[in-house]
Amino acid sequence: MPSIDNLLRDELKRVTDTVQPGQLRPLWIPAPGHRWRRRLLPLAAAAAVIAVAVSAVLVAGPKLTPVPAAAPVTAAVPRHYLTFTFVPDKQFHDLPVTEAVIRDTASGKITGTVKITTKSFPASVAADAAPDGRSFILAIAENAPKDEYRFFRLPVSAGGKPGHLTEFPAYPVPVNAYLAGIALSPDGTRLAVSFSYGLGATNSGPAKYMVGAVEVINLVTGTVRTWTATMQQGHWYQPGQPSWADGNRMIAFTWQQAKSMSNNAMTMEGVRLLDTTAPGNNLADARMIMPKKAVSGTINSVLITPDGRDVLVATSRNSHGTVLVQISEVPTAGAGPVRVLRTETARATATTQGTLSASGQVLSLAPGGRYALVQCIQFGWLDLDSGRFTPLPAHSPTPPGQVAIIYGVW
Amino acid sequence: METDSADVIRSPGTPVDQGGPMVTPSAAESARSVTELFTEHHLGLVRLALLMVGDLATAEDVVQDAFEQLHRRWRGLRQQSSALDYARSAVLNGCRSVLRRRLVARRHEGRIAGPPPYGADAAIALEQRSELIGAFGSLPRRQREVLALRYYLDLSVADTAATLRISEGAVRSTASRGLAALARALPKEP
Repeated sequence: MPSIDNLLRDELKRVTDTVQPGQLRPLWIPAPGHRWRRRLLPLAAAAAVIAVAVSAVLVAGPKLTPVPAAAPVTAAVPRHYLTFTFVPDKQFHDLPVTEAVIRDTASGKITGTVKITTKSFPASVAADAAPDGRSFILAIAENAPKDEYRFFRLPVSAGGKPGHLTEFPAYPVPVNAYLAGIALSPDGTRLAVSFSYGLGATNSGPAKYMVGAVEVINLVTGTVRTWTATMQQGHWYQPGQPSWADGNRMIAFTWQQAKSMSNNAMTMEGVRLLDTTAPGNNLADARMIMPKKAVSGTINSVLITPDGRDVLVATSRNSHGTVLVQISEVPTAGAGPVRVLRTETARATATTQGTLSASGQVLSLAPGGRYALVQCIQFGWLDLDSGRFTPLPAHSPTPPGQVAIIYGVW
Repeated sequence: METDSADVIRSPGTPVDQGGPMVTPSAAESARSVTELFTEHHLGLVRLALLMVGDLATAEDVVQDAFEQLHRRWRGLRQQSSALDYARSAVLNGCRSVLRRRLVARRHEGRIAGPPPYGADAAIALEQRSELIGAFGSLPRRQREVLALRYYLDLSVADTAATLRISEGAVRSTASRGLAALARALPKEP
């Protein structure tokens, strides 16, 4: 009979071998600098941080070699997702308070909640799943003591428990901006913010001039770079939700145009790709990588895949009282077939048509780019390789009008 | 058409914040060193933490915190070659904190109604639990630590003593007591 120590050795090995590298989330280490920047920098892409140092050191002499990417990326369906609900709060005379709600992907059960209290009821929030798989980035509109956006990180433990909101310093999103979305770069060092805003407004009249803008905030150095699109012959432009490709280099976003200041109806033109390393600050110089005609129907939202080869597009169209919602994969090279990954239809009435048409969304991509959190009438995880759709549990999200946005975390 | 997020945000701005601190080469060096350590030992440390705390989600969190700690203190390490020992100690300390919190929670279970610390969603627990593993889990914390370091990581008595900051004699006696307890817990051969 084997000795007790050998038996123990074998048993410990057998039990721990149930954990395989693909199951583990990548590690994040804190970025150097102020305390607020801690926990922002993913170790998985520490090479990018080192590249900053390398460029400084090369001038002085000694060379540093880049570090290979470290952590394996999980290929499993993400474990948790985030929704927002508005809950009457007795503390504020039953005014609705925005609550961030973390839920378990498999069961839909709430694993934790965080109240977001501002001077607005409810608080307006935009969010993005951070690529570390352990946190969300939130942009919260604050109206007092002064109007501003505040940016926060919401950490989530592997068990789905939310931590404390950690605030980033204030950044220059202009007064009265209309914020279309935020996205954290794959290495977690850059925050892209997409918005549009008016200029020349007076007490008696609206803005005379509109500007569309994308900002990239370097969370390590604090520097900000802004690309703007100004009005051209009375036309103005609005960039949509940003998403990153090719590491920390390219940003894709939808591009909409309005014909005049008196006509706010936006016309979707397609998807543009901004090279953040190229010189210049004209947002309209960003390359059009997917014209609207590449897909049929109204483009609701898009996300570019991390390799930049494809754009995931959510579209909807109405026909004789039926709404058809589709999630498609469109190659950015301009050639190749469009892959329709999922199609859902629903009968619509005059009152439900608007809601159903808006219920096609691509919301976030899991690290590795294999799974996308989408809404194709119902919310779920879409396996981009096989097209398999795993709906989120039936009792979540909460009833229509309660959930503003929903993002996944891994 | 806009995304939902666009519908819910509208607001103003703030002055430009330019010129924050730069990344220094030493910071980059420490990031690189921690990256290398992580690449090589992450899985092993998560497995070690799993043996201590019993569920993967918590084990991952403990190791994450240990690496964050290591990164913060990298430049203060007396010998950077001993970073792995430091990481192991930090992981075991983190596990102890988790176990202490669980103990406190258990003591108050009757008084505070709430969800158990680890629900069904708490990812992978110690699966396929054998009688030996069950007995291992019920050993006192120090005995589990010593046995895990000695028989899972195959550390020498000296290395185990250094990691746990106890004497070599204490390692030997604790391991011996732990093994004896495990032997008693196993069913006797007919």
